[in-house]
Amino acid sequence: MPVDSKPQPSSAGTFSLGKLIADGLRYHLRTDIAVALAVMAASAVLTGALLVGDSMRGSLRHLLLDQLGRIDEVLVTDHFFRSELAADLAGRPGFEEFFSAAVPAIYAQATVENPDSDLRAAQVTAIGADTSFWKLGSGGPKQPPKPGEIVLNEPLAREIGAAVGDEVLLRLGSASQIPPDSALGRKTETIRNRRLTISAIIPAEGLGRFALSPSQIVPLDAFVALETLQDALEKPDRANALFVAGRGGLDPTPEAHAALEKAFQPTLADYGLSIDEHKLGYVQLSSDRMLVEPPVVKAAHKAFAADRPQEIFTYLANTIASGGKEIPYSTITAINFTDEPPLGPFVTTDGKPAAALADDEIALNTWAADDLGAKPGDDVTITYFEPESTHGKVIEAKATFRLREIVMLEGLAADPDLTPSMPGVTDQLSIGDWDPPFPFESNRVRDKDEQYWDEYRTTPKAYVSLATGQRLWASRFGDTTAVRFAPPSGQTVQAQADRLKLDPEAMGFVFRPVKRLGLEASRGTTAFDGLFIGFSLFIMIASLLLVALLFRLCIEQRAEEIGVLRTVGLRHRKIVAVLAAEGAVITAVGSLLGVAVGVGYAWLMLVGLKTWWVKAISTPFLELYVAPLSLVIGFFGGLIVSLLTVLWTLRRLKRVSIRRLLAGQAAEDRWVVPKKSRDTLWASIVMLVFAAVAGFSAPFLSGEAQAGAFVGSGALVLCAALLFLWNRMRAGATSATAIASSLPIARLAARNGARNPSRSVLSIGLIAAASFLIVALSAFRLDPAALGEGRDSGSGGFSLVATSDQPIYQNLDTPAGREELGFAADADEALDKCEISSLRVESGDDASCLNLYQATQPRILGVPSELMDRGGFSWGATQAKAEAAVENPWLLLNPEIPAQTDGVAEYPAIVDFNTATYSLHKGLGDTIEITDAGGSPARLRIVGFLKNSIFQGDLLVSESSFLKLFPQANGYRFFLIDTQNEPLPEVQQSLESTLGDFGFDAETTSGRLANFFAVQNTYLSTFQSLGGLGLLLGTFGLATVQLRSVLERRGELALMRAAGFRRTLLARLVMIENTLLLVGGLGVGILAALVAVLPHWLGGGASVPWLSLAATLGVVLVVGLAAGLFAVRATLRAELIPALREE
Amino acid sequence: MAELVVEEVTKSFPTRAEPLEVLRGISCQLSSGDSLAVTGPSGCGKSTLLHIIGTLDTPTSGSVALDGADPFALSEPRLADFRNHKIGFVFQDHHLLPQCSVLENVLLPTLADGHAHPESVARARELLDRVGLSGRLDHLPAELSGGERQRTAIARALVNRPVLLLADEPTGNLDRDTAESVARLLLELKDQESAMLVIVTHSLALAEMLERRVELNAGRFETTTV
Repeated sequence: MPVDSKPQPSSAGTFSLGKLIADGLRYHLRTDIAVALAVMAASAVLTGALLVGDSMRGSLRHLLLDQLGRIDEVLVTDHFFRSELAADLAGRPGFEEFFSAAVPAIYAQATVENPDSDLRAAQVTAIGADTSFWKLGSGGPKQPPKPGEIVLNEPLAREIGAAVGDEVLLRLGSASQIPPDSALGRKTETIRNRRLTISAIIPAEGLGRFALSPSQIVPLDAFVALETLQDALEKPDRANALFVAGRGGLDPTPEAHAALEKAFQPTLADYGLSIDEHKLGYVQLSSDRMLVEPPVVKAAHKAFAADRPQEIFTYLANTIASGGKEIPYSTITAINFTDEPPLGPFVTTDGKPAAALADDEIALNTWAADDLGAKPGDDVTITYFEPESTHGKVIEAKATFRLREIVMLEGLAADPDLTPSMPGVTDQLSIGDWDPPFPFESNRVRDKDEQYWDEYRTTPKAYVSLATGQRLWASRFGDTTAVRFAPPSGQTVQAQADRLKLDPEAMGFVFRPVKRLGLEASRGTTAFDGLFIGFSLFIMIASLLLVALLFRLCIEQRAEEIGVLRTVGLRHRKIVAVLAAEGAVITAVGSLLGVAVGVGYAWLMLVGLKTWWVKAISTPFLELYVAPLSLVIGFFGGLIVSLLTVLWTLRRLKRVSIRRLLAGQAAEDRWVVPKKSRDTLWASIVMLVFAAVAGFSAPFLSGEAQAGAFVGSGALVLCAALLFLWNRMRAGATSATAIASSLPIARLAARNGARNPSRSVLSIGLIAAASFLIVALSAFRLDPAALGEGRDSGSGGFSLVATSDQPIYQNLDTPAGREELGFAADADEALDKCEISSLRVESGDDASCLNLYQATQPRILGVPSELMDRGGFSWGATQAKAEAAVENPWLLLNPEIPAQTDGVAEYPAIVDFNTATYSLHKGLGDTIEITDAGGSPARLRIVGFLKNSIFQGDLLVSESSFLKLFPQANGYRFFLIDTQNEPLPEVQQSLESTLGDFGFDAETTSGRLANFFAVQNTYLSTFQSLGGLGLLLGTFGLATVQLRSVLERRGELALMRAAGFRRTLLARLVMIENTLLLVGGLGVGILAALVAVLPHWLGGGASVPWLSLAATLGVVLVVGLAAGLFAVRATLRAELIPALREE
Repeated sequence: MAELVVEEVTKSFPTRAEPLEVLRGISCQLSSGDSLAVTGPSGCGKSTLLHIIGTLDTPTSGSVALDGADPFALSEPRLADFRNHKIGFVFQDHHLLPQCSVLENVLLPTLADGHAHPESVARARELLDRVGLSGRLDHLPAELSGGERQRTAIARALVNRPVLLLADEPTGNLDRDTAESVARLLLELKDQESAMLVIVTHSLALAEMLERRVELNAGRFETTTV
């Protein structure tokens, strides 16, 4: 009878099942402790994984709250509104209930350059704000920057090699009122520079790492005085951002957001609108953006419906020609003539009011008619620029009309206010002084044109119908330059202005509840607790296996005791209940210890994530967070799973006869009658055939399908090998001469292993499966080089991918575009051989695997039709049905009209598969809700998946869809460059140096892909490392199996000793048995894994860390052999006589 | 008056060749107060027969009836109850629980009801007094001599007043003097409790102390001595 530890005497007179349980626990303390340790391991791993998840969420939350400080809501708009709007908002009723401050600022994407080190940093967030900004959070400089000064955060300072006192260049995009993509918008000299002195460098903490989009990657921030940016952008007393602080301690709520929206009431001046009363009696609504935005026009019609609102659209005619004569550079107005004052009449030379023009008709004023010698009925041809430029290039178009009538140049027809203001043109004293953003031939301007300009300024020379003008000159930016109306008499201009109700969101004034959204996003894209439970699965399985084996061992040591209990008439259920109760106490204690150790395990995992596995999280930002709920779940999870394991080990006890129990045997008859089975032999052969089929078909597949085929092939080899082994063991080796042949002890050891084929094959199988998985998963490691660089690869055949901070309007793919951008001749020659595609960008959250925060609205790229037609890239599943789309799925982005469902516009989109699946949790055909530029909801429907592409993190729509969603987005900020045969570094260098002012930053597509793949590869490494740890623990289980085997055979071993075998020889026998199981398991697993990985690796499809895998398995082998010494020790210490007597 | 009726009991075990027949039609009958010694060479099946009579094993064929009941017709829980109330066992290797005291070991059968009632405790104390261990109630088996352990096992076998007492080589591990005292104790208690006693033994001396003796050979009872 085993004696484990010094038992305590019981108190006489009382005896119950509870006392029996307590006595049993005390007496078998050593094995109880062993079981508890195994439970502790399982519970620790579960608790640790949960705490890793808590730490991830906690750290993300902490980062977010740190970087936002007290800021709950942010508004950033492309309008520059009055700075006082912040004070207006703070003074509004309802504001103070939820918020404490509103701070104006200028928020822009910038480039910072250190002229001394020649280093430049792109994608810098520049914030121009006054001292009140620094009260919104922690981490600011001792003194806020004054005009002429700049404060950098440490990462930015490090990137450009700058120190306090150095001078740096801050480059920003100019804030043009007129959209640069419009024909009349400025496309050159769009960068503003300021030379500033670094007054402080602040740590990337608190506001020092301020960012609107949550990411754990530290942003590059630069802070200046508000005046500095107002001056640089020529926007005195203006801001484009509002930061609104909460009341502190209150979690931001939707109610607070609604209250803010209600309190926020910008004035017309904030929108760049003005309502002016004209001496001619009308009131005119106009915009400083030249075009009145469509929501304003709509609101004006609604507000002034009773006042006869009249839309006007005035444009520039490069030429008005008739009868061989022409007039250069005149304004032309699209208007529906009306008779009623004050909006009409326009009087003709007949003295009658001008009638409404048909769509093919035109009216000229007297000056123009005289100059052209035109009379009613003549053809008049207008030449104009198409309203939207393409890659900075304006295209001329013509339209011919029939001259309907000639209008007297007086009254309303002599009104220069029909033409909106255009800086550089309308504010010049002469046409010759014009500095227009479009091609201008000043030599065409005649003296009489200048005289007209002197006298009549911008008064239009021609008129067409409103419908005609909107048909010819409307753009995505608008189709109206003014709205006139006739107000009731006596009403003040202010009263009229008050009637115009504008929705701030429709005007692009959208408050984003950044803190609330960020807190939701900090739940993360990936459930790290689930991920680490998956990584630690082998450890948990090994621990539970150990629990089962150790508890089983404990039961077997107490077989006699159990037999006695049954003999004296205790029911089997009661006996199981007693044992289960002991198991429950052990597992509870083990689980409790496991919770404590789990905190340590979590800490170790975080250390791993911050060091060896840092590529999975990009930056080492994680801190340990311990949530009580996770401790509770870890405790109960470990307890329940371990207890179930204990109960499972007891299930077969009922089948053991009382005789065998009394004889110390807790298992059924161990004698196995050898059976030959052809069925299992055939089954293993069939599996090998399937393995060969899978293996040979794999080269015809690609990517993950290929990897899957290889791994499947290896798995089948594994199963076939195990079946074969089991078959051989069950058939039994009966040759007596085996004992007499060479290596008799080894052969005897092998025969002993076959005594219990199920147990031996299970042991080998578990080790084999674990080692197979650990090695074979290497097949899924991604290597950009292995995936190829051709047109059908993840890079689409492009070698460089680039972004710019400021939009580039010119076409980088044409010599003219490059000339305008200032490329030197030799650089231009090299770039001429390259292929460059430019894409539109709407900034958003990073939805790639590099960002751990859940993306709310990912970055959206507008794909030009040339790139779509070009095709290429590597594809997953798509919704393509037509042959053309199957051949080139990019064409799926091309619907004619956006689909409308529930009144919400829907557009087709393409996403990288990994982004859709792991970041956005969307499938093919699913929709993604976004907000367009006007604050209206829109949907993107996923029509295709890119595979392992450079577009991870982005949503791709066609350029035409993009411009419908974000009409105000001008220029291009994302570029793909195929260097063809040109040397890549030189091309990259010439692009970055020439376009440095735009913050042009290029990286190789292989480098970009490597960064993405590093995340997945790191996860695989983590799995392999923790799997190795689990395998290590599994070898202890193997040793326990051996120990049990030794105890079962103690009689035989005693007999062998009685027959003269030395203890050391028997110990060697047991050691060899253990070694055969261990080496057999590792061998089968590695062989199967090599079948899976080797061809894939040789074919260049897999990147296998041979060294670390070999090290892992080597350690497992050494530790497994050492663990086997436990069984050997039991053999050496076993007593001879008692064992013989039992036998 | 309790009765034990064993009728044509056989027991065979499967092997690679033909089944191994250990018992080939064993029959016997006992009443309250009777005692029977079963002797025979090693491996003849004596313990097998005892285990079948004690319902620790099942016969291949034949029947066993105790106190008018066929125990092998009962479900496992009922059989456990039957064994608990009707049968007491004494083994060669006493099989005391090492973690329980002498008193607790004797009270072990009473745990079938969940806990030991005061009457059971009194009964256990009385039995231990009768076997001469009243001063060792709190001692653990490791602190007892071989004879003392066996006497504890005897007291345990009797705590629930069984009608049948089975002993398998009860003196096999004891020296001659201790064996004699244990044997006499068994018989005394059997008389006091009016139980039937069946002892399997190699010891002729012990066998001669009982009223009847049978020899088991080749699976059958060969001689009967009254």
